[in-house]
Amino acid sequence: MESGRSHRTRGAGLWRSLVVIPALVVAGLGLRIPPSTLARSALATIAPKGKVVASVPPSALVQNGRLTICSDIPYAPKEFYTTDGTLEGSDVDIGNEIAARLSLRPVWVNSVFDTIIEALQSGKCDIILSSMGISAKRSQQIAQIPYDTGGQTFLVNKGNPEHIGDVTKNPLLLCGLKVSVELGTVEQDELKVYDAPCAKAGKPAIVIVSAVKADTAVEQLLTHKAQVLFNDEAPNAYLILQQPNEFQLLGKSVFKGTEGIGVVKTNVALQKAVRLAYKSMERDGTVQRILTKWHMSGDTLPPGS
Amino acid sequence: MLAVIFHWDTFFHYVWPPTALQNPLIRSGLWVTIYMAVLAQLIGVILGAVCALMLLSKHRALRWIAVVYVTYFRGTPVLVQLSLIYFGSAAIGIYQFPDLTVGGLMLPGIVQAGILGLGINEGAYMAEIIRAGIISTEAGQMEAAKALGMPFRTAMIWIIAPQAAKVIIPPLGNEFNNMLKSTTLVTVIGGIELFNAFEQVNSVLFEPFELFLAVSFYYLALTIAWGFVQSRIEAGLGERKGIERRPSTLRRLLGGTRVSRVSSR
Repeated sequence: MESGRSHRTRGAGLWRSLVVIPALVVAGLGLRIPPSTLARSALATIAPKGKVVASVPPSALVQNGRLTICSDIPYAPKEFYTTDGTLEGSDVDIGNEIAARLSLRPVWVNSVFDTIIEALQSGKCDIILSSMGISAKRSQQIAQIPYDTGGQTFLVNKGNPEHIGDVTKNPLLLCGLKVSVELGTVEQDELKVYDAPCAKAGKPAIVIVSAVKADTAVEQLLTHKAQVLFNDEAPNAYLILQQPNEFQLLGKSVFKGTEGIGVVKTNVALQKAVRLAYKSMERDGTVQRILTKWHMSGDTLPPGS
Repeated sequence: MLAVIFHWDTFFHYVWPPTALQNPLIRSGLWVTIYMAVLAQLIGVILGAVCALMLLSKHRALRWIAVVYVTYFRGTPVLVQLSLIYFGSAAIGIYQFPDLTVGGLMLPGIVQAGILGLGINEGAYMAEIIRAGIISTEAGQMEAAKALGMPFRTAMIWIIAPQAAKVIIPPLGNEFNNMLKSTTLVTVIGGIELFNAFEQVNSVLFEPFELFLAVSFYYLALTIAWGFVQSRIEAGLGERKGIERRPSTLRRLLGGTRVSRVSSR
């Protein structure tokens, strides 16, 4: 069994390829990954008219020079990626502007809503800007700086094929229906409030179809796995704008509440700075301009502005 | 009756790489999937090799540590492990997973956690595979090596490992195939890899069937490509043992007379 090559060279060649191929793959990948997309930094979409109103000490930031923002993407129109891969939305505009006014570079970190508070507390980001409603439960864990007030609405399939009555006028109509919500939202808690009188009235309980991401909750309604979608007013209005043949509103908005920017409770320096930046944006009308830009007619500035 | 409409234009736009890869999220998602799978598998193999040796060790303490590691990481869901590593390790102050830049390559914290989590999980499975490979070599080999005066490490690397490789490589290929697909699990900690990139597009277009069917073909392409690499490696291993390889269709068509690199006498 003589061969052209010696036995030892052949064996070594095999080992070489087992080591060299993965090394080449990793090296090649390192050369070719577009750094801008992996850096996930969103370009500021509002013109840098805003002046710097405050500065944040580096010790108050996760990474110096950057305002790292945790957000559950997508949640149109607050934060979402367009088909070109650019990050846009009303929260994105607000976040980028706040960062500009603190002379920091905004970096958006995608998170999952039901673990977003953990993400903030474990140092993944400086603030949460993800359309997060202010609630007693959350305020115990983090500081919440109000920035937007809006209600919640119910969405059904276009034409209301199941002939569901106005649940905002008669909440008992929700009993026995399949309602989809996103996990970890105030809507999820509110559905439990809606569910309480059902048993007393002798009706079946509300079937809560929860989804980890907001767009999955929308798909439940789209594919008729759920009959009603309970979500924030602005995203529902935007959904109707995007897909007018698929969805329609059921009744008026309920539970008008304020959303807050989340900051770690002990990080007083950052809270002060963010509050200053946001107040300056309120005063010069930037916030109102952003809300108008995204057709968020149902949303207003937080009370006391 | 539900009207079924399949949006062929969306499907073709997103299944055809030149058009789909115009979306920078999909571009970076594809790269993240590939390098996450490769790095996690590498970590898994290294951890698994160390753990396999510990499992075969004569020191009971080492064996016990290895058994606990293998049992825990094979016995709990990967999703749970990823969440533990990403949130838990930062919460108790071990490692925060900040975004790192290593030699020009940007590694977001979520991707680090994903690679680490998948790698540690993979290590538990690789430990068993490598252990089986080592055991499959004849006992006489190690004895002969020691009789020749080889230290343990030299014997392992030059004598045992090449023979164990024949048993390890096929399941390793299987594991890497799984790893390519397991990268989708990082969406649970918010990672934007290939599947999540398509989910982001879906949140704008609302055509889940077309989009998810399209992304499934990308994973299929990756696993099929890996299948080719794997069969070449296995054939190469077979050649070393003198097993003649069946000539490829191309070679037979072109009329080559040499049927394999191992020429017969």
